[in-house]
Amino acid sequence: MDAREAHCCGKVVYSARGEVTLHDDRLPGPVTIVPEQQYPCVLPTLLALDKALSGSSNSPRLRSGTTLREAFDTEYRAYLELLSRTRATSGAWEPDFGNYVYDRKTGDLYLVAPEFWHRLALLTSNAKLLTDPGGNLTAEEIRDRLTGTVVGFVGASLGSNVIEGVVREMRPRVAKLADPDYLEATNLNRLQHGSLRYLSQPRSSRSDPRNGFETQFVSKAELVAYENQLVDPYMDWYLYGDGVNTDNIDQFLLGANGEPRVHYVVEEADDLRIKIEVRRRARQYGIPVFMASDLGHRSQAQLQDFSANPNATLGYHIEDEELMSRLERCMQSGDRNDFFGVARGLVGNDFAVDEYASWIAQTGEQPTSSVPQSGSVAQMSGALGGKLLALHRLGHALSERIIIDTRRMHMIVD
Amino acid sequence: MTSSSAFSAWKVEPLSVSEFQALNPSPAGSINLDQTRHLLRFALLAPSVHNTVPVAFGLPLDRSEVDVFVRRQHVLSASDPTGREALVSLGCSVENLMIAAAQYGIECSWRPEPGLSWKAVGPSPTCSDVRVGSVQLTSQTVIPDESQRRSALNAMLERKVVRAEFDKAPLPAELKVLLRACVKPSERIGFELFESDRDKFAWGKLDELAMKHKLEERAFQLELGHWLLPNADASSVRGMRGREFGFDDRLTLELSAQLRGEVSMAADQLAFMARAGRGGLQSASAICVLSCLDELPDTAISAGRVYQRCALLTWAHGIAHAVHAGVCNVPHARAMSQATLLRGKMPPSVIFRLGKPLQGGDWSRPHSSRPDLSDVLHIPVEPESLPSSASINQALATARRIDQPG
Repeated sequence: MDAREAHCCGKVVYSARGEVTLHDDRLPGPVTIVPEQQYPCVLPTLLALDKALSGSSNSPRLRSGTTLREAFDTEYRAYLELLSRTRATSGAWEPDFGNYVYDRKTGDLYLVAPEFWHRLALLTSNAKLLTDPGGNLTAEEIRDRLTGTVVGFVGASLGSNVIEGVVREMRPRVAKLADPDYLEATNLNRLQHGSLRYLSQPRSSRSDPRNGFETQFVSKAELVAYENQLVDPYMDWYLYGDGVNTDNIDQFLLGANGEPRVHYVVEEADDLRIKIEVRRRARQYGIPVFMASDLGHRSQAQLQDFSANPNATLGYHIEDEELMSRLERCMQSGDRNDFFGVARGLVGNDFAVDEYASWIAQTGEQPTSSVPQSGSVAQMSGALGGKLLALHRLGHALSERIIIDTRRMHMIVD
Repeated sequence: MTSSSAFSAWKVEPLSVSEFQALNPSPAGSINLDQTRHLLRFALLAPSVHNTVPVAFGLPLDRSEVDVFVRRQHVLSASDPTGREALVSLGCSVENLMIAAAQYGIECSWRPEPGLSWKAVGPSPTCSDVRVGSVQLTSQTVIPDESQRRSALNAMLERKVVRAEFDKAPLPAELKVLLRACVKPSERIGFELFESDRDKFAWGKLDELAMKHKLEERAFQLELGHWLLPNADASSVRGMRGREFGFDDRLTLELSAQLRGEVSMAADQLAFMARAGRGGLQSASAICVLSCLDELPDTAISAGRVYQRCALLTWAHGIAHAVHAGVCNVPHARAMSQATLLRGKMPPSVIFRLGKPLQGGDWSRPHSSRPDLSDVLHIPVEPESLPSSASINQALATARRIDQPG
């Protein structure tokens, strides 16, 4: 909600004690927000930009003709002036600057810097580390390209790490996220932003508040999107809380009714059929598929660029027919070994080494009954995802598969 | 037992009405033993937990009725410590009996045994059968038309549990109406159909959680390992062959030996099994949940009757089914489902999924075996076939002693 409009239309009204009464048609009625739940974030954001943005001589030039620093200085001066004027005006609490963001979940009210400056602050430290191969694009053009990239994430567990990599590196304006699952405590070694807050919905969500069996779980997709919006409330998320399936996968990939088409799919699903169906449809529509895998101590990143190579196979160095045959065998047989047959078809035959291989072979002590996943390797996979997708988006050629082995401290590039 | 006898129950030739009537030279209105035996052959085709067939029938000579007994030696001590699952299975048999009888113009009514307590129906290594009720048989004049009769009898002969991946296609609307009509208000059984991906996922996750919990119980593993039979076993009249789950010969032998603790098992094997159950539920067109209060054992029989009605109805419409017992058998999972998915109503008693197998070949998975009718007529006998429930219960008792500290 634009602050100027909110103030002049009486949508945000401050009382003498600083309580805000919020009026909005999207709320069931007026909401009172006490000062303890108000977060004025504009000045801290602009202060940080003031400190971080480079001086006029080598500041990136904007299409408007001014430099980024000049544009910022103009905005900053205006804001500080407004702030002083507001301070001197009886009954005024905030200048007409920025946007109010109301968090319906917590009842918190944020006053956030305008979108351009807020999102710039989230990216400024990346500087111009990311460039196109020829080094021809301006900082603004690079930013526009990355901002305009739409990534669809299928799977929010390991996928949340890739999301983190992508938003930190690219800061897209729009993303899609599909995951039918809820957060479990055992996800907390790898799910970005997971916490106690999300192991269960609050007691108030129960129909019987005393019934300890009534655990209302929290959707991974919702929590990841929510936490990301607390960083960037200007980012739009299209959530697929039921996951992707044969009915909605086309909309997920191609968009519809104002929902954009994705430029990339990040496939981190558990469901084997979905993993392969996502690739099949993405290939059909010429959409590159990225998958990060945390394979024991190894982080593995794969980009199947179906845009550049529409005839690429669905799996890794395996014919489609063989991959599909393995999939059907796995779904039919109930044999653990057939599961690994599909896994090999997707990530390569050499995926199991060291302790991870011991787990597959079931030698030695094995405390868990699910596939082992290293928290730090999950983070590294996310980092690889963010970096590689950004580079690819800017035109860099990427290898089909990159492995970083954190135990042996070496890298394998195919 | 010979190979043919373990599966010959499925080769019942449904008699025509005139053939059926010819079995009884007595005046019209009475039902004799030969006729009752013919009807009981259909009762025997009903499904049961782990295919234990924990039912027995008594045929009083002086009355046109069938006494129904729970054969406690076949009640699973680890999977079914209260006997609830066994009674659901008995309900299925009762329903088959009544449906078969109706095709010959015989009206049936179910009379539960007065004063029956849960304590009386639980597992017991002894051979004491416990009467849980009786089916009164009364001749009437209304006989369904021939096509309807054939369809009803054939559905019982063809029906089987198909534990395969389904195709998720929505159920026909008219079938859903008919399904809801399977529950009579007097039965006090809750009926809910879950069709959304979200609900199917939630049931699947809860089933996975419950199954993993149950599978980690040593006694349950041992019991399941005994009831999971080699595909090549041609003689056991009770128990489940691996092929009924889609397992090949090697995996069946390996898995049953692992469950019995005879060979080592991968740490993720049980999780893999639990996960497969979840996949099955997610692949369903719909998940059907029958719920009831556990106040009396007869409610479980009622739930079984409704389940069997639904199973036969859907089968006749080309829809397969598979039961998922995990949530119902794990008290905390049951309580969770009652509080969340069932919105505080009655606890679930039977959970089954409906749909068409994704792979057409799965329709032709074989039937499970059945004992001979003479085995379940009420002269309690120790079954000749393996696995012997008494020996399993003895093994379980030994396992428990080992599990106990000190």
